[in-house]
Amino acid sequence: MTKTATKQGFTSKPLFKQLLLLVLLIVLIEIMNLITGSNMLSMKNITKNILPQAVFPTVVAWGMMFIFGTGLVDLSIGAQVILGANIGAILAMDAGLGYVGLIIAPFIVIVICELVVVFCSEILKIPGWIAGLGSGLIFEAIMVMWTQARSKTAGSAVITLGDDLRVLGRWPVNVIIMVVIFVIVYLLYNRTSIGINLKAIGGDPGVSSAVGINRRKALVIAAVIGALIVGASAILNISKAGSISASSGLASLSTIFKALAVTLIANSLSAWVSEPVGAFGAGIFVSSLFNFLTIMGVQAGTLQEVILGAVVIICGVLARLNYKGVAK
Amino acid sequence: MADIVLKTEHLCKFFGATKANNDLNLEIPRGAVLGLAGENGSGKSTLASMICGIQKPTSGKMYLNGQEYAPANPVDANNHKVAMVLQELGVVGSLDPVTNMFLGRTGNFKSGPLVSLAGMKKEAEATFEKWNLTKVSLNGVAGNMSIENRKVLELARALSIDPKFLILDEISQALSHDNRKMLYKFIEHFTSEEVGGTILMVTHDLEEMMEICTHISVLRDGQIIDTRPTSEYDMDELKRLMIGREVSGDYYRADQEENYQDDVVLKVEHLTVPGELKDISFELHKGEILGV
Repeated sequence: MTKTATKQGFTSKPLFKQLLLLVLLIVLIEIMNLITGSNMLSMKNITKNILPQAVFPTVVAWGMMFIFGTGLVDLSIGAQVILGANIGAILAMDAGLGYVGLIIAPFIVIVICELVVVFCSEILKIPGWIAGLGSGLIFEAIMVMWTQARSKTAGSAVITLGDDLRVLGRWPVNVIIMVVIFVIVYLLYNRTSIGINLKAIGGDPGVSSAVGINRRKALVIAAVIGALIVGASAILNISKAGSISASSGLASLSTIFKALAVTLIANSLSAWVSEPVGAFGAGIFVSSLFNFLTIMGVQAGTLQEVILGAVVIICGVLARLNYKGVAK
Repeated sequence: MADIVLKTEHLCKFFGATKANNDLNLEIPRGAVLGLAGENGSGKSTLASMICGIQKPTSGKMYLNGQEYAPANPVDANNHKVAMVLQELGVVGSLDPVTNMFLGRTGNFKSGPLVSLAGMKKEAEATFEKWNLTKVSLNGVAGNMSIENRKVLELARALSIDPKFLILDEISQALSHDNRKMLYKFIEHFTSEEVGGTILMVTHDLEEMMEICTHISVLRDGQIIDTRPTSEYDMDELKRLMIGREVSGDYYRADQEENYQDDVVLKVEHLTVPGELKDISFELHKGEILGV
């Protein structure tokens, strides 16, 4: 007869593994720093580049955690970010609504877009990734048509935020917002019935239904929460960049490439560390890695992505080593 | 049978043309351990899943403690103090054992807007303690637990609602000798006058059924063929009722005695997987059916 172990929190992951990951993260970043001649971890580089560049992929990854967690692999999120951010900017600038338009529009637009994808997947029984890709093409096309029409009336297809509307994208406001979102996400994901039910459905829909969890209700709630978080990322992104160009042909996927990597790394490490925390660490790591590669003169767009892809695969392999069940 | 806990009247469950349960009339007295005997596909698990709210009857009625009973879902069944450990259920492997115990009911542990994890753990430990269950580690994720420990966890999950009517569907198959003893002691305690619980038990192990159950209902082709106190059955009669023809001796095939050739199809020598298997060796011959 084995006794109930009580030396660790049952919902928290083993503390030594979490500490090990933290140490590993620090060591890896410090190694990169040493290679760059300690240029990488200068206060200026941390506050100007590493932390601000971690904000968007990390926040999107938290949103994806909720959406993907239900089993809906929605690849239209990049298109949603572009559409939501641009409509926010249009309302802020062209309609003169200022921050009200900039903040409210992305939330509303992205929640509607996400519910469209959920509807396609659930009601029309289309596989989630197909529903996402199809919807993504439509969202992109809407934005392209809108900007084309705008170029005829306003003379420019690109909507640029005025400096007075970009406070949310500046250091340290953007990082403070990220930390606030992290706290909310952590509590929602780990300490509420919504988060627990979401993880149960993502883990085993059959068992979840058999114990009385309303799958469809949980899925819609998770999609709305995920969309709101992605909406926040859209606001932060356009506030930082000033403008986001419309894209077509699923080019919007590149917008969320780093966020996908962060999500995958966090998911790979989920046996060791809670996913919101994992995504936080992974976001910092990915941002540091790209910053390191940039400082080292590694070409952006090709070799940098190759290295990031390799990191994701290594994390996946490490995670499987710890798993005793059947790999899905 | 004066004090009837659960009664079914003309209960039917059809899946298209398949009549999984057809006109079931059953009365289960308080304190009974009613065994459901029947071959695969006879409708035992379908009946269990209707009682615990997973499936809805096509027609017919159920009564619990004299009141009409139609659970909308498993949580509703739990609210009526009906719980189950089902053959095909299981645990969510990616979640920790304690969360698994209270899945679907985590809202009951709210402390403000948040779920009290400490409260759930305390309740989980209290459940193991109260029912004297074999303690299993509540740390890590359930996916890393052994099949046997997962079954114990499922039993604890069912008991965590403090049920008065419990369905055990093929639970003992996954249990070791020691845990079977624990289960039998639990059943005795649960159905004692002190606790006043009632059990519906589904098992393919007829010897276990004869040993444990106070009553047995035999299902065949979705219909109840017979219900009597266990003492009124003998093994041969039970087998005959289950399959609808005379069977004597072994219910399972008796024509499989060493009817295989010398050719070795698979040979395993000293197979060891650290932490999983230790020094396993065997030979599988052509035509041989080897049970592991």
